[in-house]
Amino acid sequence: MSLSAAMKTAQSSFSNVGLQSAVASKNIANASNPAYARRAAILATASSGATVVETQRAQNEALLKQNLLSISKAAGQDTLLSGLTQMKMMLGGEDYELAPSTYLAKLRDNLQTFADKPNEVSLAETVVSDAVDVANSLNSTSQSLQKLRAEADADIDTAVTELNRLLREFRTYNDQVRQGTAAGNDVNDALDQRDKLLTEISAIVGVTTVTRTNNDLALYTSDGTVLFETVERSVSFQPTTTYTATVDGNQVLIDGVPVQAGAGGNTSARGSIAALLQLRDHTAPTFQAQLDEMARGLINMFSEDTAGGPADGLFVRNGVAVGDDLTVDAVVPGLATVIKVNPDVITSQGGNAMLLRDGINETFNNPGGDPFASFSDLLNGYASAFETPMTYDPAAAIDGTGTILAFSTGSAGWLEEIRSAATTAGDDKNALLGRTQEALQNVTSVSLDEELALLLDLEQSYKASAKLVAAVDEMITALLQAAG
Amino acid sequence: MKASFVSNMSLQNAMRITVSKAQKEMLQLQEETVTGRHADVGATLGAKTTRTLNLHRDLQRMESLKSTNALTTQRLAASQEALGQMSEAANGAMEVLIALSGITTSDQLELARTNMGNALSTFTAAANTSFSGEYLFAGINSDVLPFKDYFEGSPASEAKTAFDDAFFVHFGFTQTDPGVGDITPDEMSAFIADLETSFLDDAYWQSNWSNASDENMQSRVSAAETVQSSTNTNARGMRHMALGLVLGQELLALGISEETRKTVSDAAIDYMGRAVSGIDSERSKLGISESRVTQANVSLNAQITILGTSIKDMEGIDTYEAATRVTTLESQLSLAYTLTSRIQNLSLLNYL
Repeated sequence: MSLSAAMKTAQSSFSNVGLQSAVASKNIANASNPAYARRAAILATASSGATVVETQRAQNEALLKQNLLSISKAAGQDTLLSGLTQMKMMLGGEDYELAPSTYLAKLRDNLQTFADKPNEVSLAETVVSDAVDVANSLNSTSQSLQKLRAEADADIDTAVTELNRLLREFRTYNDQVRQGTAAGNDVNDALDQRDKLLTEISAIVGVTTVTRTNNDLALYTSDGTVLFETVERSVSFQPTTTYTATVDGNQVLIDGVPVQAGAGGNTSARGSIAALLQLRDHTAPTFQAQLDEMARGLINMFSEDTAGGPADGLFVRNGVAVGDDLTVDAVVPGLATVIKVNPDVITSQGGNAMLLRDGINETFNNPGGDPFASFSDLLNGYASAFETPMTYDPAAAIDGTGTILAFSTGSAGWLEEIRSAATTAGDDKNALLGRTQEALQNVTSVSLDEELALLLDLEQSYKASAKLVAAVDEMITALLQAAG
Repeated sequence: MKASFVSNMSLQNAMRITVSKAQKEMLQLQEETVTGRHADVGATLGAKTTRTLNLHRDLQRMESLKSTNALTTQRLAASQEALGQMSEAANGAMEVLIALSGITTSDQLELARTNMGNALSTFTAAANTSFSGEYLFAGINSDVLPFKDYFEGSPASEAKTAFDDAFFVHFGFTQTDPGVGDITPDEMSAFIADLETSFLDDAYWQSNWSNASDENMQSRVSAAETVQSSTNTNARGMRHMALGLVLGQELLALGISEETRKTVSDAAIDYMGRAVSGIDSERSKLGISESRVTQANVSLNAQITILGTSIKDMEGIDTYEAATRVTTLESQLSLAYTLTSRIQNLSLLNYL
């Protein structure tokens, strides 16, 4: 070994310290960037000390996959929960003030009071205004429901546009990674970007990744459809702007295959699109079917048994074809949107509330003579109809038979069951997401203390090298002086 | 090479998640402590929400039934009071008729006649009692005066006219005709028997005396039970009462023979007796209804208590536990804040 060799080693040490400081400062600069994975300069022993051979990026494949799964599960659950919460709001607050069940109970109670004192016009007016409340509640709830479906549809459209954009960007970075890896370049920055895009994509649709040669990544949806392979696959969706109970929304096609909607309160949806589809195509329509069944039940309960057959009484439909047969126990889609109170009993529309007591379509109260003031046969009939079980379409997803009051509270219970499951599942899935993110960040994110400690090391090493150079320099000077 | 498996980000995130979780729970508990029920009943109970909604509805129903029962009770009490007056009037008239036996002076006869007339007026007033806008004895035809006034001036009431006609048809002369003195007890008995037949005939009664409907008002007193909450002026007792009083009013003071008058008086006493028992039987019918209402109220109150307890069981929370939990969370949170600030200060930077 010669002094010049020592000098050379010190020099390479300077260059290593420089490179390592650069990496450390980059790490420190990105300490709060969640998409950044910590770099480390890897040293290798060489003839003259050591050299930096590569900058390694901290990563953990398993944790990354777990993270993507947690993100898509949490995103799906959150989307469903916010839709369900919106549906719950349609029923009012903690006391379900706006729910059809509340208005129905009030109608029943006041009807009973009226039946006990059928000569009071004010009681008749109260019952009619309660009936208007029931009809309004059914109308507005089903309108809000259809609005919710339209909003979900618009959200799907936005998500699909966003997904297409993300996939295009993904392709750019994936190309960079693929080509860079093949060429042996540093592709760490592109990898950071690609991982970031992956987390964004998995919030929209659940993905599984497959790594191929040259770090090329292929993406499949959780349904198994190809989402990205070398190039992105087309995601298409035809939005529908106006929703009614009879309108079905379009499917989301990924590479020509429809995306499956999520199912259940603890939803199977991965990503927001599946959850939105679940809201739009399953949850909201089922709730609508329940409202429609309530409307059908109400019209039937209050229909009058006239000489010409049964005729709509207090509640009538406004819009659905009159010929629709309500006696068959099946959902009439959209009936809840068009049910209204017969104008013949609404005073402000030129009607007479007392017809409720005497009969609307024909006179049941002492036909041919003056009506009896305390005639209560019809009213008691209506009141007891509230206690009589009816049969409902199984499509409404609640008990097939029961009184209309039990059915209406059953409907609220049905919604709350799903929402309750969704709330619990939402907490669980978000907790899981928090845990996986923490674990992933512990592996891939920067620890400032560690970088600072490393810097101290580097400083010492620099000082030592400088000392070495000074010593060699002194030795050479001494040598030259001795040589004269 | 990474030496430690902890990063600044996860350190901060862990703290953030812990604190935000504690804050969320605290908010919820605060609400629960104040209201005494779950902060989000639906999310806590899930499908059981149906049950609490049903319980709430039943409770509302019971309250509503209790308030209509109060109305029914008042209606029944008012009916009882009026029927009591009728029965009293009948007893009074009977006393007058019994005291009459053997009296022949026209002054006293006239006095007795006036007494009978007064009893008929009292009876009419009681039969037309109205309570909160409805006539109590009109059956379901409750907005029409049920019992027609016999003493209506001009034109004379239908009942009076019908009686006069019947008299004329039967005897061939009017009450003021001197021929009345020749009416034998048998003839009088036959006339009274005919009159009774007429009074018990629904068409005659309805066209001359009563506007009431035969159908009584029904009131629901509990979820499963309805009771009769009124009676009407078509009842047998009412008809006998009117018949007895009209006999006294119209025939007692006529110039008829002693024996014939005795026939009239005996018949009137008989009818008054039947009237009293008839009216009392209506009173006892309503009395049964009254006791049913009382019974129903007792059971409603019991059910309201049970329902209230069940609702509390389902929706309520242990406020003591919630309050304790709030205190615990409070100290946990303040600990978390202290730790966060300490950990933030813990950096190598401060020591370099």
